[in-house]
Amino acid sequence: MIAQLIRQDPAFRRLPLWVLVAMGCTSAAVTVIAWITARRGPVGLELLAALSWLSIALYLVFGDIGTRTNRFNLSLPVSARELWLSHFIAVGLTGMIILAMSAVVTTGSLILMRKIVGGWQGEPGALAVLGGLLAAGLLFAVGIIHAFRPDAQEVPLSLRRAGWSLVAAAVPLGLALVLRPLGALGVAIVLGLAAATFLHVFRAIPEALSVPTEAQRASAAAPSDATGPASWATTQRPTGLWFALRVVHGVTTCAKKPVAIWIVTPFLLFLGFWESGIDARWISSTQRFAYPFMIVYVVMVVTTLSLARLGAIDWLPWCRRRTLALLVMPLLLCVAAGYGVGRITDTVLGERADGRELLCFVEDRESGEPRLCVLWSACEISWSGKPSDLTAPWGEAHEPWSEPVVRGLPVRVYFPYEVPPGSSVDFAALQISRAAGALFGADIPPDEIRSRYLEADVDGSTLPGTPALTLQADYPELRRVGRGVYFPWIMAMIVVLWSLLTAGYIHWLRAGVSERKRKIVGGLFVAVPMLLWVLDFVLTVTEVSEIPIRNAFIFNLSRSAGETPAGVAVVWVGSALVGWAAYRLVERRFERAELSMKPIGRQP
Amino acid sequence: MNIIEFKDVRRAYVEGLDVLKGITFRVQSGEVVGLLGRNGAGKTTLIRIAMGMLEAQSGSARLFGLDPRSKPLEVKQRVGYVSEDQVLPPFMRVREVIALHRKLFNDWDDDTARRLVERFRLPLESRISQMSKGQARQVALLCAVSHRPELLLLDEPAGGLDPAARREFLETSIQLLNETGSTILFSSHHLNDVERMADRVVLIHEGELLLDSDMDRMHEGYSIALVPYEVNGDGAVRRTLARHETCIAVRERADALHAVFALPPDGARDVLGEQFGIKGAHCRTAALEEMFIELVEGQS
Repeated sequence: MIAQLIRQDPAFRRLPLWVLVAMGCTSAAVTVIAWITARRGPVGLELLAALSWLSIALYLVFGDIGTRTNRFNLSLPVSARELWLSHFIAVGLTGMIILAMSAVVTTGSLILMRKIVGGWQGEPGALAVLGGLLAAGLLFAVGIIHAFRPDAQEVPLSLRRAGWSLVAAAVPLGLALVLRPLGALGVAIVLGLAAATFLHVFRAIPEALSVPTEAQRASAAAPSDATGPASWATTQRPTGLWFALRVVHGVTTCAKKPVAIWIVTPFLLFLGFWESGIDARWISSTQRFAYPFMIVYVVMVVTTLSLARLGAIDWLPWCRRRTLALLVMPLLLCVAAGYGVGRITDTVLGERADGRELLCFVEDRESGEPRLCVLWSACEISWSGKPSDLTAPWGEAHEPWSEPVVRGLPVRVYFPYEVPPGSSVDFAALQISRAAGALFGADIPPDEIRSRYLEADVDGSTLPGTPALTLQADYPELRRVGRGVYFPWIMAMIVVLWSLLTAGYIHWLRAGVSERKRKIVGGLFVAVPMLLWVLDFVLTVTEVSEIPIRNAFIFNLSRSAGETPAGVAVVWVGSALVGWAAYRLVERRFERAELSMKPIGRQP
Repeated sequence: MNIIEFKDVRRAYVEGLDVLKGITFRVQSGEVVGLLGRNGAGKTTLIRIAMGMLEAQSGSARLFGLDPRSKPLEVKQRVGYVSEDQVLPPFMRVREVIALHRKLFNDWDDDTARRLVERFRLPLESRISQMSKGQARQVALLCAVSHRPELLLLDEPAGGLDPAARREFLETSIQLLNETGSTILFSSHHLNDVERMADRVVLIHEGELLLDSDMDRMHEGYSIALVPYEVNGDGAVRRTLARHETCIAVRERADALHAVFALPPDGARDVLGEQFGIKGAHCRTAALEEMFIELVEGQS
C-alpha cells in the first residue's frame, strides 16, 4: 500500500521537473567552480557543498512537499500516520534522487574540468563524507518541514511556509559544513537529529488529517462587492502578449500559477550566456559547442510537459501555430538574450583579459622549447589528413603539428603559424608576422618582430626575447579580426534538433495513446539531447576526440564562413531557412495533433 | 440550413475497436438536439469531432459547411462549447477569463457577459481554482454564450452539479437560446433535462445511431409493449419480434417481455395481434428515461 501511495505522491510524480532543476543548478554551480578554479585555484569543499545544495533548497521550498496526501486517500481505510509516512518517504526519495543527479553531474563535470582546467583535486573520501552529510541533512530538513502543522492534509505555499522551508534547508547545510571535519561521526550526528525529528513529528500526527473546508474556500473566493461596476471595469484591462504568454504557460503547468516558465528562464538565459563563448576568456577549451544539447534538453522538457496539456485551451478559437510560438519562442528568445548578454559582457571586458596577449611566444612549461601560442580559432583543417609543410621564401620548411579531429578519421587540425623546434629566428619572425596578420589583419614586418621580440641562441635556434612578445600592448590599435559567425547556425542547430525530436513526440499526441505510454515516449525523446551531451563528454574523457581540437575544427569552419560579407549572409540566410523549415515541420504536426482535455492542477 | 452534418463518421482509439461505427445525422438551424447514450457510447467523441479536437478516421463532419479540422478558427468562432471535463485555466481570475474570451471572440457581447456575471453573482477577482464546481461551470457557460454563438455544443454541461445549480444552468441556457435562436447539440444523462430542453433526440449505442427522432414523435410515435411471459414460450416470440421492422428493441424482464415499437400504442397492439397473434399485450407510451433504458437494454 505504501509503495502505491508513494507512486501517487505529487512530490514523486514531479521528479522529472526537479531532475531538470537539479541538473541546471548543478551545471551552473560547476561553471562557477570552473570560473573560480581558473582564476584563483582550486575551490574548497564548502563552496562545492553550498552550490550543490542549491537545487535541494529550491525543492524543499517550492516542491510539492506541502501536500501530504490527497483527499481521495483520506477516504481510504489507511491511517493518517501511514499516509504521512508514505509522503515522507516519497519526499525523501525524490530529494535523494535529486541529490544523486546533482552528484553525477558534479562528478562528471569535475572530471571534465580536471582535463581542461587541470585544477580541482578533490579527495574521494572527503567527497563521500560530504555526500553522506548532505543526504542525512536532506532527511533532517524534510523532518523539520513536516513539523510545520503536522495535523494538516495540505499546507499551501505561503510566505510563512516558504520561510520555514528555507530555514529547514539552511540548518542541515550549516550542520554539514560544521560537522564535516568529524567524518563518519558527523554523518551519524546528522542522521540522529533526522531520526529524532522524524519521531517527534510522527508522534504528533493525529488520528485523522484535517482538510481545508469548502466554506473557507468559498469565503476566500467571494468578495462581497466583486460584481460591482468597479470590478467589471477590471475585465476591460488590455490583454496583450504578456497575457497570452501567461495563459499558454499557465495551462501547461500543474501549479496554481505558471511557474514552469520561471524555473526554466534563468537556466536558458544562463546557458545562452555561456553559449556566447565567454568562457573562452577563462579556460582555453570552451564548452560552448556542448551547451546546445543542454539547451535542447531544457526546451524539450518544457515542450513535452506542455504540449499535451494545451488541450485545456484547444476549444478556444486560438490558432495552434500561435500557441506553439507562444510556448517555444520565449524559450529560444531567452537563449538568444543570454547569448547577447554574453557577447556584450565579452566586449565590455575587452580583448585582453588580465593583460593576457592573444599571441605570445614563450617557453613551453614541459619541454622548455619556445612555442608560439595562438588562439585555437587560428587553426586550419587538413581534410586529407596530410597538412602541407610550413615553408619560408628562402626554402626553410618544417612539418606542422597536427591532431585528428576524431581518432580514426583522416581529417586533422593543424597550426599554420607554428614555430617548430629548430626553427631559425627569421622563420619564427615570419610565422609571428603571419599569425599577427591572421589574428589582427595587421601587416607587421618580420624584420621588426625579429629586432624587437626575438633573440638567437648560440646554436642558431630561436629564443623569446626581452621584452616578450606583447603586440597588443605595443600596438594598441590592433583589433581582432575573423571571429567567425556562430549565433545563426548554433540557433539553427538548436531549433533543428528540437524540431526533429518534437515532431517525433507529437506523433504520440493522439487520442487513444495512454497517458503512461505518452510519458514514457516523451521521456525517451527528452533523453536524446542528454545522451548526445553525454556522448560529447565520453568522447572527451576517452580521448577519442579532444575538446580543443573539436572546437578548433568548428572555429575554422565558422571563421571561413565569416570571412566575407557574402559568407556571413549565406550562413544567416541558410540557418534561418533550415531553422524555419524544421520549425514548420513541428507546426504542421502540431496542427493535426489530438490534444487531451485531461484536467490539470486543482480544479473546482 | 444544416448547422451540423455528420456523414458516416467512424473513429477508433485502438485499432479494430471502433468507438463510432458510421454515425450519420444532421442538425438544422435553430434545433435543440439531445444526444443520448450510455457511458462510452461515443457522445463525447462525436462532439469533439464536431469541435475539430478529434479527427474522424473516415466519413466527414461539417459545421456550417466547414471542416472543423481544416478550418478550426472559423468554426470555433461560431461555436460555444461547454464540457464536463473542460478546464478553465485554474490560475486565472474570472475577470481574466472574461478578458481572454473578449479578445478571442469577434462577436463578444459585453452586455450578455455582464448580465450573467450579475445573475450568477460571480466573484470577478476569484481564481478558477478557488471556485466551487458550479461557479466554474457558470463561468464556462458565460464564456460559451457571451459571443452569441450560432451553435452551442454542450457535453454533459451540468454533470456533477447539484439540482439547483443544474436548474439554474439549464434555465439560463434556454433563456439565451430563446434570445439568440442558437442551435444546440447537448449530451446529458439527465433525461428529464433533455425532455425539457430538446426538440429532438439522437440516441447512440455502442457507436451506432440507434434512434433519431423529434421529441413529439418520441412521445407519440413510439411505444412499449409488455408481452406476458406465457406467450414467449422458449424465447421464440422474442427472436421473432426482434426481427420485425418496427420493433427496435426487445428484452426479457421478470414481469414480461418488453418490446419497443416505432409505432404508437395502437399500432403496436395491431402488429402484435395481427402478425404474431398476441392478444394480451399491454402497449403504452413512455417517458424518455424509460424509453432510453428499454432501447439500450433491448439491444443485447
